Amino acid sequence: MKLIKYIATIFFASLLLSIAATWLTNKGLRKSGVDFYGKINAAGKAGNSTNLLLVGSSRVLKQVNPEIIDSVTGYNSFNYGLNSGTIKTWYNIIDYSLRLNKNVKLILLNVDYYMFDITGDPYKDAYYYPFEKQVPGLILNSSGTINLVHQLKVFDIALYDDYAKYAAIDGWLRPNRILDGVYKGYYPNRQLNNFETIANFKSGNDKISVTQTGLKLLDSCISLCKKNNIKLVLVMAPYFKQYSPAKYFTNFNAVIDSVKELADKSSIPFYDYTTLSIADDQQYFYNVNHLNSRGAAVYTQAIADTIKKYFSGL
Amino acid sequence: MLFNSLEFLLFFVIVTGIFFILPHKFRWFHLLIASCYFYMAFVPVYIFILAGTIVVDYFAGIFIENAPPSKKRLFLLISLIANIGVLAVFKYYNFFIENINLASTSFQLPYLKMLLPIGLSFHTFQAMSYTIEVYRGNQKAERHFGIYALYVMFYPQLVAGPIERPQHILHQFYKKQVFSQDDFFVGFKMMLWGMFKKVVIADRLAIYVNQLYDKPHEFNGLMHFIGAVFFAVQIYCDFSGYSSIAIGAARTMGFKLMTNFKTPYQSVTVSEFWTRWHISLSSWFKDYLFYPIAVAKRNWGIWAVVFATLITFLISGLWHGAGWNFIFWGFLTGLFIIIETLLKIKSVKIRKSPLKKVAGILYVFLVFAFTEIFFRARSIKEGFFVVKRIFTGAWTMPESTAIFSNFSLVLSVALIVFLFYAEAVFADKIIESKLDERKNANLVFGISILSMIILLGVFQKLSFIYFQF
Repeated sequence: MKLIKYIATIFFASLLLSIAATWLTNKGLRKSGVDFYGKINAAGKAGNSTNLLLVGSSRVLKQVNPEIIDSVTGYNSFNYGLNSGTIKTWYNIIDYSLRLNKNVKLILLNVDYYMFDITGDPYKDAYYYPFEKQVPGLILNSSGTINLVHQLKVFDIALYDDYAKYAAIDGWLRPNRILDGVYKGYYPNRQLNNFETIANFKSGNDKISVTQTGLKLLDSCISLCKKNNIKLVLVMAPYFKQYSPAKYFTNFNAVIDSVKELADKSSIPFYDYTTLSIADDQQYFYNVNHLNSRGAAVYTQAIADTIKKYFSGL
Repeated sequence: MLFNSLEFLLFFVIVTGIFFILPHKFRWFHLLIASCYFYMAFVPVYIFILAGTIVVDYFAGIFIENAPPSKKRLFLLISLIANIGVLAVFKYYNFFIENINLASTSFQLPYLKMLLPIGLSFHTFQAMSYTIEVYRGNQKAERHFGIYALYVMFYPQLVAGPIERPQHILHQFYKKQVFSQDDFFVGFKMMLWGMFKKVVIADRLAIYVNQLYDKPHEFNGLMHFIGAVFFAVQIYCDFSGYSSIAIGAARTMGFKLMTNFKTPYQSVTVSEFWTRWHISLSSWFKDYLFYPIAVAKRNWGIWAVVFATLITFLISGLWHGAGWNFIFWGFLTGLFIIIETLLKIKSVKIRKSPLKKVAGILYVFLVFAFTEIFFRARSIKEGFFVVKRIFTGAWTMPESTAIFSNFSLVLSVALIVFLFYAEAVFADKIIESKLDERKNANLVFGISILSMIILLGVFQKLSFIYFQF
């Protein structure tokens, strides 16, 4: 009897703590202004007047400066780039934004070679979508135990990773905080280029993983934009030419060609900036896949000029 | 089936519950079936490999006991060849072929395309200890096939130890276990503590360490130093966490498995460390390899110890993994122990001075963290790269590491400090206390550890490092 009492007591006490922590975390996440949650919150903000969404991975997050875009094009843009995101995360961001913001006119989506490998997407539903209830159409890929626990709600805290917990604490302590140097979601890479990383980049025979669900999600993004009468533009940011992933992955060109084919079929413009003049100049790069802030300024200017030329006054 | 999964929680409750409901005479069968199910949850077909060695060793034990003295050795050899043969084929064949293929320019031998059976080195060593002990006359041959099979397959220690000895565990399967609230209470707390070490600390540190070793070239000296320290703590929490859960799960049913870790990071010499780390394996090597070699070469004086140490640790390295980096890791570890032996450095002397004690603890930790770099790296070359990067690379913290937030870093350090403090001051006392003892401390311990598991655990179902051995 004593044993049962002991086990029941500690389970009950822990359950209460878990419920309290889950409630506090979910509330805190809704107040967060940084990183993933900050972007979700910004997208769902009442009265959001953003009309140009910049969507993609870190190759948008660190490379597309809304300040330049806004000043050149007259649009009100926001950088929704997220580290290591794939088409699954981008679809969710677009879907969520369009449900809550009716001012969107144009979406710029950056194409990455790994964008269809949705199994590698770090943004797990249970950890990163505390607002699921508001977004019933969200594409979910959690399964099994995680999904089961997530349905219980009271143990959500057990599913959140450290980033989520930190964002929640930060949300409570500094509601809607904007990090120093961050402008409308743009996180510039101020660090100098990492020559050693580049030197160790070797060509090989690896293959890029492409999932059918990933390909379908790109199609869904296109349909979603068409349905909402929004112009979708695909772009591809430069890679450092000397060590381009095209040399590393045998099916790089095939993957990009499949995107181009889909874009052609749906009359979606695709702008390939991999041949931009800065692509073979190390001083504009942080590493093989990412421009530093200097390179980002040049690249953003090129994008802004294109938008101004072809997509002004939508 | 991983200990850190909901499936195991369910399995544990059902198996333990049925164990006490069943009459004693059916319990061995119940545990054997449960152990088979537990093992087959990984790769079902490998149960046949296990069954094969069980049959060989069962009969070898009886034949050794019944044979005249001149034939005993033959049956022991058959048993050892069968066990080592299984290891050689499933664990070392590809390593062997890889080296032959590297050396050859004229031909290439084919590789074996199959996964290493889980926990192979553990249950093989446990099986070998049985036939050796029967041969030495320290253990009677087990006539009950089911009980012998259970000795090898008892689920808590089947895939990652502790590597039991027949004298310690076999008789426990015959003893009628009566449900004891105190045993269950202690076992439950052991499992809780093991789970805390695994999911709160080891798996959190694994996030940092795994990404660091995935792309070692991308990180500077400071980050690799942190990585080395983190891995030393990760592997301790991962493995000792597993052992705690295993020992605790057995204890809830009244079985007492041998202690596998005795706060090794409180050791003041490397030699002492290896008497407190993975004790069941260290003592296996000591009894069946080190002593026989040292005794055989006793005419060499101190060099017999040096030679036996070196051979033992080289083989220990190979036991851990089929790779030159593991052998080099074993060599390095042996080297530090040999230096201590030759310099006659004794823990007892060091412990007399508080200053020397602290220096000793720090020295042991750093030596272990250093040698473990070769354990974790994918090759000796990569290990040397990491060491070089630590000593020559930049020691600046990146403004924001992509692999680990500053919050995670601070949290990890705080948890490590808590772990070492708890283990040094109160953990064992509370865990070993009975229901009527230390009531408030037990309550606080239970609530805080379970809450930390829920609030701070990393539930990514990461496997245990030692499963691969």
